[in-house]
Amino acid sequence: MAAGPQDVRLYEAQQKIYPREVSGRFNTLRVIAVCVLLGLFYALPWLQWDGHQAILFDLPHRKFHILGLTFFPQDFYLLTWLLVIAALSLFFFTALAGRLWCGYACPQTVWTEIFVWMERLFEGNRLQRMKLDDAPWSARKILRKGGKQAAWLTFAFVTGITFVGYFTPVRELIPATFSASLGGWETFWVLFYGFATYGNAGYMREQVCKYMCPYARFQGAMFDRNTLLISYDTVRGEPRGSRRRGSDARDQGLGDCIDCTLCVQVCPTGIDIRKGLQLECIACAACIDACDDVMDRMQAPRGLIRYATHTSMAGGKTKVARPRTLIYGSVLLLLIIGFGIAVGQRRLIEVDVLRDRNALYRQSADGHIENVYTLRFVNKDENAHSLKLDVRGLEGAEVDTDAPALAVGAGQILSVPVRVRVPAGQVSGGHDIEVVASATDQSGIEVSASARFMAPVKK
Amino acid sequence: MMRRDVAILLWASFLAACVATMFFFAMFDPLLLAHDDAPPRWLSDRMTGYTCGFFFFWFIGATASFLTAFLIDARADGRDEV
Ligand code: SF4
Ligand code: SF4
Repeated sequence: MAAGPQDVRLYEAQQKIYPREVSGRFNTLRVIAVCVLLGLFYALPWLQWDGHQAILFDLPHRKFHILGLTFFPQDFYLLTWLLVIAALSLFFFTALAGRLWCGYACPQTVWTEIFVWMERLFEGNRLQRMKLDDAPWSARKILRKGGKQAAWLTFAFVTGITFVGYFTPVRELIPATFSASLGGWETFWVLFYGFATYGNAGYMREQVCKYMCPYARFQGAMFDRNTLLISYDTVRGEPRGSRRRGSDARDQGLGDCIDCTLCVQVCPTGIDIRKGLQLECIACAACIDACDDVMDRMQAPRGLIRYATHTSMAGGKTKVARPRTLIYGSVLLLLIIGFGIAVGQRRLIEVDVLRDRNALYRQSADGHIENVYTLRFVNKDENAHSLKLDVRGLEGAEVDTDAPALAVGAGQILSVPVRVRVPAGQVSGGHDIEVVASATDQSGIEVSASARFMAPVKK
Repeated sequence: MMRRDVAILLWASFLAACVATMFFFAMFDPLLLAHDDAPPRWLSDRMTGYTCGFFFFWFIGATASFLTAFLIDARADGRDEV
């Protein structure tokens, strides 16, 4: 195949995009989304719960604290479950309304938005930014660019600290940062995340969506004719052309598009939506806001560019309930209910039994066969519990431990060596037993684990 | 291979390494991945374990990606000559 213009374009040097500022319904919606999401991101680590950080992913201790709940690696399936729910929600909303996620909630969009605001604050609007970039270096240019960099770097640094604050208590992290006594890992991750934010939101921007985001590549597979997409009404808009305000377009043989190219100028990914839906479109709806404004000024009805489905553009009626959405929706609902139940029914205490590796059994002076095990308790509850042990499945067996009182603190992992004893005459060979631990301070908490009891084989 | 290809390849293996690290260390505690009940001396704390694990997965993923890209490239070149 000969290299068409399409192929050449792929290898062209990247053109810097200067998105024009826009205001309107959807932009307001995005500003709200940005404020809420970033507000949550920066505020959540500061939230306290029962005297500890409400949300803390304590990797060094392998415990996740989320509000009143503590999760251990044993609960990992819940996280997997949650990820499946998240993925399915993404599918569901994509099928319904396209890339809603990209336009309003993706961290890439949200942080880019903030960085663009800062850029605007220091370097002015689109034209001023383009002029500034073209201008030779001067004191004024240095001041503006320097101010922007300072703001970006500060913001990125705060972002880095906040991110690490989800893994290390943020109230210890901040003083440590300012007294320069931050640990090696913390320093590395603060810088790493800060730098990633700075690079992605300050410089990479739409290129992350175009070249790095896997979702952007496969989301098209979830669209169908009834998906709500950003669409340009070709029938109404074409043929495009400029005209005087108030003149009748139809008399001049024109459509409603005045070819002002504002929709192209506001587009953060630099595409022309009038060419139809493109992979680059992140569905930010900036072009809708821009065009609505133009239509208002031309006294034409809004919505030359609008959220619309293929079906509705073709004059049909959009079907919201269709096999695809019904399947995604019902599976999603089931998973969410199941997740709720799984979290609710989570065992508060777990126990594992490990056999002593050194000896199969021991014969004690008082004529008992003894097996030694280590019990490993994980208390996922917010409260400490005292436990009492019992053994089942073998006649005459009893269990004891040297530990004076068996108590496991909130969120604690406790290993205790225990002995299971059976009078020597009563056993021969191997037996399956069950070690049972029940809380003495709260009814209904009972856990058990099975183990193998070994005794000499009687001839 | 073009520079952009290398970037994509490192990026894809980075993503894969993140997932692999998460699943792997959810199941295995780095401190227990030890011989003779004692962790190797350089593995003195869990964060080191996680980090080494992450870079290990990244390296494996990148190797596989490079090899794949290389083999596909080589095949395309061969066909051009025919
Ligand atoms: S903003 Fe509207 S009127 Fe202006 S070029 Fe775009 S589609 Fe046409
Ligand atoms: S085409 Fe419109 S909705 Fe799509 S990215 Fe550009 S401005 Fe946003």
